[in-house]
Amino acid sequence: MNDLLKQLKDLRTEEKLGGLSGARRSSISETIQKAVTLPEEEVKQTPSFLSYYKFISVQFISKPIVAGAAAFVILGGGWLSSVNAASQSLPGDHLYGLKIASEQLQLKLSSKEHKAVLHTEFASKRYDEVSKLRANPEREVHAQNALSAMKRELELAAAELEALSESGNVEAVKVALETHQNLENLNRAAGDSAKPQISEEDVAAIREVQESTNEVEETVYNALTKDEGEGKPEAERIDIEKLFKREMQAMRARIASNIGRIIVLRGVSESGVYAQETTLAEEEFAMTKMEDRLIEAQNFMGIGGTKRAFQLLGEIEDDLAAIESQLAGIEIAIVQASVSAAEEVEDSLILDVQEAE
Amino acid sequence: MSMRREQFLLFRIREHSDQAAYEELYNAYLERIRRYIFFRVPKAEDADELTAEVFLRALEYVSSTRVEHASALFYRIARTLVADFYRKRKLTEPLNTALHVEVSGRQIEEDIDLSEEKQQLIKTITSLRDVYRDVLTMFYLDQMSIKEIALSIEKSSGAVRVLLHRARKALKQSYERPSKTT
Repeated sequence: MNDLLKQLKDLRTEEKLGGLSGARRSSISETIQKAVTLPEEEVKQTPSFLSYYKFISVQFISKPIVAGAAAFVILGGGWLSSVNAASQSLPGDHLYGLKIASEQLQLKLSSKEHKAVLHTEFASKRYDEVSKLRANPEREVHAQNALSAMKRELELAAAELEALSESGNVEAVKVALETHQNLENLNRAAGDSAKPQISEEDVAAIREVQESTNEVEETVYNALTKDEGEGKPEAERIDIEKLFKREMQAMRARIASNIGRIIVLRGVSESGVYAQETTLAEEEFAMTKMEDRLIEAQNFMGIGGTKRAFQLLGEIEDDLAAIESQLAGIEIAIVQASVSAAEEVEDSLILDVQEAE
Repeated sequence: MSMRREQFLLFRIREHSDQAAYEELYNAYLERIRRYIFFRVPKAEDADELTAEVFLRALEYVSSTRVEHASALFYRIARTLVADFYRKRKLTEPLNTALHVEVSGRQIEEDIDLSEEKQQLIKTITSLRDVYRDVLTMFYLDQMSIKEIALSIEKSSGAVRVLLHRARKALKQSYERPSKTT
């Protein structure tokens, strides 16, 4: 993979990946320069000290001071009562900034493992705010902002969960279960809002919520099924192993049954009723290879690669289903061909009898 | 270009109509914006035209309004212009489908100067989903930081990290090492 990425970096100037040759760059620049003419009378050759002072004071002095002052106010006295009052505020209200600041503080003080859960809780709060704001059409802009903020919280939740599961943290599964619960509640709330009178924008908003939560759900699922064999609770590991063994046994039973069907069908094919020699040979070969694939899945399970092991079982299951469907098709075709053949024989017998008469 | 430098140039353009400042600004972003558009339009010439248009439109905005992040502005204008480009061509199929057909139909000519592996890599990159291709090209070709990418595509830094991780996975899964012919 590193080799691939290194090669990608080397293709920086490659035209087929959008790289710009010198000539092309000059051509585009010329086009822009010809059209760009800033009004001459407004051009000041020597900028005044006052304007530079304004720029420097905003960038280097007032912005940092405002940030510091906000932190001081938050940490200073009157914190608790203010936060309580702020908890019901909506975007646009005076105390809303305090509500957000308290959430940020919660995040800062929480453990790494708990951040994903907090983000899903904040996402639910943002969605509540959207629902309340939508009741007042004049606050639509705030509702849109709250919706964007909700999506950001879900993205952050997904990022934290992914980072947690990649770090091999044993808490990932517990955290994943908690976020899963929060996401279910959020989805349910979004679904409840889908009443007949709901506007198109609300439908679109709900769909966005559900798409965003689906993405986090996928990350949650990955965290739940990812296991490299270390740190998982013993009981959980045993349950997963039992499940895997049951699946393997079921697959082996199906493979044996399908091989039996193929043998019977080959016999029929050889008798000339319905020739499907090539297809049956291919499927017989695929069946014999399935055992190798089951062993591969078993090996993954043995070294703790649960996710990959179940993935392989899933792929084998899909292939089995496809082959079984083909075998069923052949069996039906054979039955139909047999019926047709029997009807022809019957017809010819009747004709013979009639002629004899 | 550092954020401070960019802010200074924007200040110069807004307060003093400094043409040289704008030139420095658009030169810093020219290649990335063009690359972004390049994957979304059928021909390189279309990409050139639209790229120039991005910076012309952006100038009107930065001359009169305080802009926090030029990158976000340029990419937003680029997205709008690409959408307008297809609207004007009156395509009947949905935009994403059209893009898929047009871009994947671009002929990747054999280039004797490029190794087979690099040619294969180019084909793989151009066939990836838009969002994966964007983050990979921004990160590895345009050498943008996670924060810069986040500002440009208007997502959080965390989301960009996740996307980048998935994009690398998708690249690895889609890439088929060319077999050596004997």
